[in-house]
Amino acid sequence: MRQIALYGKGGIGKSTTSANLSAAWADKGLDLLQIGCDPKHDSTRMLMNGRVIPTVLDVIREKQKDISVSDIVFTGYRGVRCVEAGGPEPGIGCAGRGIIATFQLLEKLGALKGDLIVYDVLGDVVCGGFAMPMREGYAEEIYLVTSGELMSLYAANNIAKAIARLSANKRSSVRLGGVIGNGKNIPDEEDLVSEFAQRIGSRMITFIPRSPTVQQAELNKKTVVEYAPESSQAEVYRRSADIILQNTTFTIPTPLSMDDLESLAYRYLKE
Amino acid sequence: MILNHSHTDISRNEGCTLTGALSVTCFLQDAVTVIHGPAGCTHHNASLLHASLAENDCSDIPLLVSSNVSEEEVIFGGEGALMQAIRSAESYNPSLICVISTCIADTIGDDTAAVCRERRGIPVVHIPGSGFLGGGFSDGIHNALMRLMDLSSPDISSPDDSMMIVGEKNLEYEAEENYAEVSRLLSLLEIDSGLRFVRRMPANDCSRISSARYAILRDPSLYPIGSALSSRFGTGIISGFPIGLEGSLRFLRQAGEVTGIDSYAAIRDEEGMQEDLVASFSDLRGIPVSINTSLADPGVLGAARTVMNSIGMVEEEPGIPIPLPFDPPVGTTGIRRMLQSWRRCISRA
Repeated sequence: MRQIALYGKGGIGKSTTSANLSAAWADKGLDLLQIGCDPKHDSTRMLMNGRVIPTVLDVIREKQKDISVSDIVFTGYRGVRCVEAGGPEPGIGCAGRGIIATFQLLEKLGALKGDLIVYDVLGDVVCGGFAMPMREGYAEEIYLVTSGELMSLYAANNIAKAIARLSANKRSSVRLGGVIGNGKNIPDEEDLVSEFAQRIGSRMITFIPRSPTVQQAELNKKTVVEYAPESSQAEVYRRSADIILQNTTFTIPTPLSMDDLESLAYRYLKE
Repeated sequence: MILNHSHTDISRNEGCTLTGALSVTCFLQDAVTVIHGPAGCTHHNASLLHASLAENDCSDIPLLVSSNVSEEEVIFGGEGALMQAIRSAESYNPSLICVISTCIADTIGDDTAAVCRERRGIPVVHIPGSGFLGGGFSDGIHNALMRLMDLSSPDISSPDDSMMIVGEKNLEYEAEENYAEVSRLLSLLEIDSGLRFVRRMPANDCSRISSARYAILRDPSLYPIGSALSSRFGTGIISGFPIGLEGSLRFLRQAGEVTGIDSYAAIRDEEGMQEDLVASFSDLRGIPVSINTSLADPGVLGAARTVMNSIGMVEEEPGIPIPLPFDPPVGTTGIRRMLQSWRRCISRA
């Protein structure tokens, strides 16, 4: 069983990327479990043909006990098993603790299984709860999803800090698998993300260009891989899925200082 | 954000803020205290209060209600659990409900104050009690007294000439003896002791705090409370209980000044009583004794050495070790109790 986690700034396209990668892997016949770790709970919606599934925390709140796997794990596109951690109502409680409780429940129910587990994790919040997927026993491969926007790079750099810190623990085997560039049509964006990846001691493993097909697929409540399998965008996702599957290069990142990060982004803006 | 990375000691004053607040609210009669946090916070403190009160021959365990915050409340917020706990407290028909927030409630960001502000038939007062924000036991006492002070009516049309006692150490062994000694000294000036804010005080009496013209603080560390009383209600403040022989005379002088009563005769009477006291322990004169000064409170040490000099006891090594009380001896009677314990110790040596 391989466990990977995709981290990135909110709204940067983690869920779209995760869902399309999962769909591509499912097409290859792999047994997939995708876990959305974002209170927004829309990671798996396209895999479920637009259905918003009950979140683990909703179920915990309503049922409290006698929770079974079928209450929280739902089957979507080509048998991909989908889970959404969910979160408390905005402005109250502790979402990070909610992620921890979700993991504990999934483990207790024996639901963390399959050829591949994909964690789709919000990268803006850097408390211990949102670092849970990186802890011992969970994802060992982390992929940072980022565009060329400064705040997106900033969030990715922050996650790199978390990986570096957790890697210091001898028992931890969490490593950075690479950076996934998710294009926002910024000039020289691919080069910027690629240089950022190198500067933090990793590499840009794939770059996903911006495409109207993504929006069309989402409006049809499907992943691109399902909605337009012949499209060039679907091919990008499939190729990216293959690269990640074949990836054997994992590093402990060397995050940038804020000054270095800003000057990197500034240089690309000027050129 | 409060940054306090220094290591703390384990003395009571550095202890749990929640316990400090409880040491006040549990001594309000006809009030119920709700602890907004995990059940363990309530259980632990109930045990501590039970043990402390049992030492003072009191078997009444104060009524505490826990909001019983568990992981579910941590994730989804604990305000609902708090509302339920307040409703449970209301079912006892108290005159007042005190809600003390714990570390957990403040960590997850529950708006405890807003829940307490909701309109109800019974007043509900919120007392911050989370120690991780930098407070300790003493801060808990301060927080409780300050919030209870808010219940006082601003109307001071019928002022009370008796002396309010503020911040008695409810968990100390000699709390009642100390109160009796202060009352005795005040009686020399023909002043009555008034509200005990807070010790065995009816909750409704919180509204009368503003009417007290004068107040004595249990000790000078309660200065912020005295300052608030003074600025809000114009209360005349005496900064602490009298410590030792000299402190008792100073106390009478200060009480006279604050109340405008001539203290000359009272001081003369007290000096006479102190001379009699010294004379009654003349059997200790010339006896070599030693005291362990390493952990001694400076107030205790000062009061002890003053009376040793008056009696003519000799401090030298090696002498007979004599014990010092934990808290400074209050008044002339406090010194008498200390001398009695020394005499017992010396007679056994």
